[in-house]
Amino acid sequence: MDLLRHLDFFVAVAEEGHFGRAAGRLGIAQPPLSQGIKRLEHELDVVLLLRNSRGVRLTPAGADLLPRARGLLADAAALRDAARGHAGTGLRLGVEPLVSAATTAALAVAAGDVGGPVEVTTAPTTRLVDALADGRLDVAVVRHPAVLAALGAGPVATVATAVLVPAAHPAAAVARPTLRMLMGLDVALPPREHAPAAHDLVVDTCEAAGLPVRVVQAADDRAALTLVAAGRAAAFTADPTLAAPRVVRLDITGAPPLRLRVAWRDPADPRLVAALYAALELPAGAAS
Amino acid sequence: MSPAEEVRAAFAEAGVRGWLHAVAIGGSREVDVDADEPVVMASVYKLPLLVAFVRLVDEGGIDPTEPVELPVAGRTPGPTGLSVLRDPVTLSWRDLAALTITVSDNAAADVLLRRVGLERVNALLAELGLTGTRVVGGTEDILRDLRGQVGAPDVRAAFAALARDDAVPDVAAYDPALTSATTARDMTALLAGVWQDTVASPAGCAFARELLGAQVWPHRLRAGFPYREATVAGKTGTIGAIRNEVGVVSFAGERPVAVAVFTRAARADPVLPRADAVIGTAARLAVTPLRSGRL
Repeated sequence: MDLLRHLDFFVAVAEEGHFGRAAGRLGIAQPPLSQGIKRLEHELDVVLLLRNSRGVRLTPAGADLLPRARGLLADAAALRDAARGHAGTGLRLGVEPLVSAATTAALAVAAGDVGGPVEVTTAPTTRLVDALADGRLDVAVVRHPAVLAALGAGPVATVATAVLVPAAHPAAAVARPTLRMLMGLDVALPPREHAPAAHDLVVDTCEAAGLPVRVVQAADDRAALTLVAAGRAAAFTADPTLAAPRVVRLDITGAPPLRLRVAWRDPADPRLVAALYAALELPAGAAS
Repeated sequence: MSPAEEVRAAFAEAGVRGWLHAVAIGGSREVDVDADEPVVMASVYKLPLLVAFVRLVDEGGIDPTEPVELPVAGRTPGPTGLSVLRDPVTLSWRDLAALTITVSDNAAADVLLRRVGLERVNALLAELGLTGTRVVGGTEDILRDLRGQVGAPDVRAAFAALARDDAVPDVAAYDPALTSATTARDMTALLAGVWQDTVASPAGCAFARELLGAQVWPHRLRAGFPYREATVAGKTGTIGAIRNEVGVVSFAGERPVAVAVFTRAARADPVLPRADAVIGTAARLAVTPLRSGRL
């Protein structure tokens, strides 16, 4: 058991007096929080909290152990800060490749302003989630929906996408194009295993709009743009600057947006999380 | 890969978080995928309710054939059974149990639960040593709480709020600490008791097995065993992104295998065939290595 993480759960519930508010503060859902408290109580073999319909209160044992839990957490934070100074490596930030280059840069800048030096890794959502769970990343911007298990995460940020189509395609010449008009083109999408649930949601969104989806794999915007320019496929991009000869950008109502969440394993600094969400909401490409 | 690793990979591929326990009835080999973690039961709670009912019949506390008059008012909403009927009906306690199990009738189950009593269900679970399992109420209670927590005027609106992919709902119905909960291991133990006649009289257990075997849904456990030679008896549970089924898979001449699968999908959408199907796939990955072959 990760004792520090579980103690952080305990302190949050004790201070908030309420599971829902504590889960909100920790940025995790209530089920992993209450399971974590149960595991901690089992591990320590003592009941820490009494639950009732109004909220939560400390048992005498819980009240006795709370200051010690706070002390351990403070020491751990100090240790991490000190280690960071020695290692010279900063915050390890992961970013999903479908996030535009400009937004990725804005995320790195925002993280750096809060937490010092930043090391950015670009990798598909499933790999970012594994890296967070293994402690190889501190925080990551991942696609939603994804199975996050016990990781914490913030709300869903929805980024609108444009549809890229070959200039010669009839949909490019229509005043109000629809998804269904893309019929006959392949759809350039990253491999499903990069984010299975999010991938399925994109495909189902297109199919529900009457566009049968034949997927051609494109791991990122660069690969997708190439396929569109070659006349082979349509693609969705969250990058408002992405363009190439023989490629037309269309705004299509109902096009699947890019849904993102900021996720973490160890309790993340709320200022860092807020800064990352603010960077996601910047119009990418806007100089700031 | 070990069977447990294969099961985990199947869950990930389907976009769900999953918990599983499988054990050959009368054997000791098992497949365990977080089988002792608390999970949300949803309508799987109707299985302990069924066992408590047949036990009460055994004790002479209820006449299973007594006619029960059921007016329309006060029926719990649901997609099947009495929940969708428009007129008053009269039927026996054991037929209420049949609707509760075979079509997961929410209205019938709540009537049966009120008669059997929540205390009796939980006392039975405690007596059987199923300490990871706790039933806090019927479907009516869960739906009332859910409406309050998402601020919806009715059940339809509450489920619509849960089904959005642009938000992450945080409701008690998804929290094992706040709703009826169990573990995958507890449910295979209860099923093994029903199959071995140890949790009620042989006649009572036979009745329970018959109802579980008559369950109509083919899209979860059954879909994992599309063989004429296999019979699958089970009970599903569904609420929002939660999809479960616990059951017993039997091949003629072999030792039956109990399997419990609990999932929560990453996607909020109400119809996810992949999330249903992986329950069968995961069960097959776990059950196949536990099969005894012809005895």
